[in-house]
Amino acid sequence: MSARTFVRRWSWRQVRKEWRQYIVILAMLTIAVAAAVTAMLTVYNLTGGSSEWGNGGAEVTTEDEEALIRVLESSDTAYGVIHEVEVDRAGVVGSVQVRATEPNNPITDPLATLTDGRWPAGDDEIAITDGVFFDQLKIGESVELGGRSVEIVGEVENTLQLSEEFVFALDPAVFEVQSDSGRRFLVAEFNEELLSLSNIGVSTNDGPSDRTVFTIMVNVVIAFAMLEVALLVGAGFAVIARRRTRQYGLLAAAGAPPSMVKSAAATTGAIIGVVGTVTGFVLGIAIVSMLLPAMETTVDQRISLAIPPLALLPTLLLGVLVPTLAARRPAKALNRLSIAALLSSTRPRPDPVGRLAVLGVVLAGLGAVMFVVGFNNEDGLFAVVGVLLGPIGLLLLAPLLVKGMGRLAARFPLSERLAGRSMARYNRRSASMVAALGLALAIPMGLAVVTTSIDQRAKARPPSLADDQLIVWGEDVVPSDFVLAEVDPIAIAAAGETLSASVPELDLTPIQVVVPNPDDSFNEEGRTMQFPILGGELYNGSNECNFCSINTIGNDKEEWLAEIAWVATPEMLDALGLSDQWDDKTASALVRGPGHAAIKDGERFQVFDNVQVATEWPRATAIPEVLISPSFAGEEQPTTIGWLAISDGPLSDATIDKVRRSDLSGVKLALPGPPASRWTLRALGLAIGSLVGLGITGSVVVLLANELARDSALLASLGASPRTGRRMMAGIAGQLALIGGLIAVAIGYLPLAPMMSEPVDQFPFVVPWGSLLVVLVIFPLAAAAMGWLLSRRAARGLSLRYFV
Amino acid sequence: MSTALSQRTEYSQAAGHLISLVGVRRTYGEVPREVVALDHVDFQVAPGEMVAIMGPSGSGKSTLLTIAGGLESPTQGSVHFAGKQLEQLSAKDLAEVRRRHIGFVFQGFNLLDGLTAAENVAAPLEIDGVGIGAARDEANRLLTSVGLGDRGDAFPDDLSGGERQRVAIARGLVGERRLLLADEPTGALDSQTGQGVLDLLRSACVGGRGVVVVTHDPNVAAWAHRVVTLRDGRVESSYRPNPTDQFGAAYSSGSVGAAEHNGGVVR
Repeated sequence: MSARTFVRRWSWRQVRKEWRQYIVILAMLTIAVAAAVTAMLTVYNLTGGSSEWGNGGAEVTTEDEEALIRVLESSDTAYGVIHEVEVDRAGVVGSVQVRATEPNNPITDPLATLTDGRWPAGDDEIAITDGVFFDQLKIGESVELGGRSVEIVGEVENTLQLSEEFVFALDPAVFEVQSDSGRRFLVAEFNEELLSLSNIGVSTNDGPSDRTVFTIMVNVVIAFAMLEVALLVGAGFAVIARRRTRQYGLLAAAGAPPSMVKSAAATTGAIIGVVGTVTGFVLGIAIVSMLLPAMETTVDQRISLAIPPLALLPTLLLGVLVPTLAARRPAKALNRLSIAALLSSTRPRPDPVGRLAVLGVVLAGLGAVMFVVGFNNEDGLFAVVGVLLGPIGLLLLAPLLVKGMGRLAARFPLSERLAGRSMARYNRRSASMVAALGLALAIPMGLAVVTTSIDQRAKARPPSLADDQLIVWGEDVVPSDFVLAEVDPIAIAAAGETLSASVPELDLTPIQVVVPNPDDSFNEEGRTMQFPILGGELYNGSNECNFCSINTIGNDKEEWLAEIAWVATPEMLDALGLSDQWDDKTASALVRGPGHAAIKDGERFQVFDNVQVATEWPRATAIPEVLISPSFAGEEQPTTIGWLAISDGPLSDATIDKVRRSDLSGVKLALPGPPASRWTLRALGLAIGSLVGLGITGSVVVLLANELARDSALLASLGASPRTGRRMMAGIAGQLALIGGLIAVAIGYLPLAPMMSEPVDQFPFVVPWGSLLVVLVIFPLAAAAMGWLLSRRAARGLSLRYFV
Repeated sequence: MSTALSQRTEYSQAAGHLISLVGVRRTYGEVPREVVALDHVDFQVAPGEMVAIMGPSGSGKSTLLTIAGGLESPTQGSVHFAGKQLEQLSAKDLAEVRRRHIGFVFQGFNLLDGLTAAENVAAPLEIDGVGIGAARDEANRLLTSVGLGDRGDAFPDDLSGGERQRVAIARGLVGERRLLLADEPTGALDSQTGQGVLDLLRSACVGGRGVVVVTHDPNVAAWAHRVVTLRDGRVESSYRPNPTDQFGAAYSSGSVGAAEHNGGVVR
């Protein structure tokens, strides 16, 4: 027990003595915990849901209100009554809602909470929400309402819907009522005694939305962020352990067993962890408190800040565990040294990197294979495991790359050589730094690779439409997907008429699709909406796949139609210039070739083996791959989802402008032209990744500054200018960034593997030169510049303490 | 050898002294907690002379060495090296003086861990713009001269204490420097290895190079031409352990750094 006390006391005193060295680690941890707490509390409090029933668990309706009240009173169930009526206000168009509840009733209180003044005490007094009279009236003033003159004595609000405007009164019956919604009975919870009442209607409250999924998602993101922090904190503690080597030697020489040395290190980590976590926690709550008004505006509710201990527990535990383990690890390595070696500050021999690299290669390969297989077989678990394993395997290559850079550095000038060697000699911590940088850049790099491949594939195809075509269709029609949502036939028809009248130079052809089982419902205006879903509905009553034969994707299993098939009406065939192509009038479908050669495979298309392939098909990307014959639709009615508009020649700017100025509500336009490049997305991702990376580089430079100071002073004693030391730090920062960039590039290419393995229309392998330039050249140079700038103070040191 | 390397030999000795400290005072901290490390010390070294500085811990030995080497500036007084006053030199010029004319050997070896033995020795030359090849050749020559011709590719971690100190001495000698400052060069070595190091230091004086050795060890001091003892930042005494050698004779005639016991300060 006394030993533990000694260790704790010693560790605490060391932290107090070396506190400057811990600032960076503490800052990183504090920021990470604060960000995690902010994210968790924001998500938790924003996903709380709302209730129209205040604190009630159910709403009961009945014709015999007196009997209901008797039952509620006798069963001792908490309840509240809310009465809402609409009354006229003199001189103003429209009505005002008057609400009556019992003030401070535990069930209805959230629906009308007093915020200023007092509750009305009589029929001539009211309380109002701040905007119900357009901010023109205040407490103490009178107003004509529902045939009465009433005085405003208080301000109220519905805490569950802040934007709701109403007047609170004791008894709405005293007003001339325009409409009466009746009394609503909100009960704390439904009980069986209520069933004894006749003609009773009960709606139970589902309660606030389940936050579990959100909580898990946020915690996964937090875990990822904490991994990043762990890498940096680990590197930081490795640097500090190096400085503490002699102290540990003294501890061991005084008789402390190895476990005590480890314990001392872990205690230091725990102290930093507790301080950082508590500070981050408090900071996070402070940030959320500051954000609360904005959050309330967003969700239109008063938010009583909830601080869920269970949801925050993983973050807080990680906040303490990460530095504790990170501090213990280098101490464990030091324990392998003799006490004499510790006393002379000898560094432990670096671990061999070969085995780790082999493991990394195996994991990266396995991850890539699992990712591809999982992606192609739609096996989420397989794909997710692959996504995790691949990057982890590549990160494990960091020590090997660091060592390689050290070897390569033998050919560099003195400062850069020292930088490379220094990195390689402290391989583990350098690898942690590299991994942190690699992770920061991997996501934007992956984004760059994927979007470049998407752009490249789109570029390889012709423009979305021929230069004389445009399409008008439903707002939510996605041409390359097989889900159509919210097609408003009336809007589509109206758009066609409007377009014909306003732009007569365009020939319009209706675009029709077959909807096997249209799901009718209504939109807000009461119009019939159709949600034609091509997917599961492709299967007919006998569980045969109607459209599957058109599937051309080359897996062994059946897949659904990859794209929407338009109905090949004679008009459509004319418009597309395909009338001559459809020789066989009995064919079910016309499929664009030759990319769909698999369609000739008789085994695949046993149901519709009379499918034709038309090689002359216009390859505009907005035109589908497949046309089906009207007879193929069978009894199902084709649905018009839009219009294909064709002009006599290439569409002029004036024509396009006329189309745009037409009153076409509820539809969208598809115009000819190349697809939009995703370069802004790439640039934004790379900018954010680079900024995070530079932040990490800055932390690394500060962490290494002390070590640099010794070498810098030594070089100065040999006659080097202070610049030599700065060049060395710039070299370290630049080389770390370069290796981090290489790993990021490797990770960034992982998502492309399954995309390239698509049997049809694969995404091409791409070399995003611009992004590579940023990650492998500009970022390392920027990191080197940062190292140069931040090491100015450290490199200045020509102090006696380094030589005696 | 490159031009840059040959240029470093262009050196003139002014006033018969290689280096001269005049009225040097060095303090640390602020009044009232001010610590006086050196208190009006005068000190000179002649070409080819080996001077041992002795004294108890805290007497100012190491401070004297670092000030003589231009690693620190005196609070008062001046340091003259080759006719130049070091405090008046810019940081760049001072660095050049260290680079070309002054070598250091420290008790803790202070080799750059990231460089091999040969690279450590070659570092001052490389810093001075000498090509890597020429610098390495010179480094290997010096390593051979200190008996480490086959250890050039070894990193400091792979060398014994004696080997490290010999590498440090080779680095201190590289580029034909005129002054070698050594702080407890044998402090961390066994007696046999220490003897070898002293041999090297003594032989370094050949050709007019001055050597200043800070030491606690009277046996080391016995190798010097002159011994200066410090106490509480002041020179307590200065004597020649062997008055019959060349410097002993010069001392007697007063032509080289003539010292006399004068209130604890060597004049």
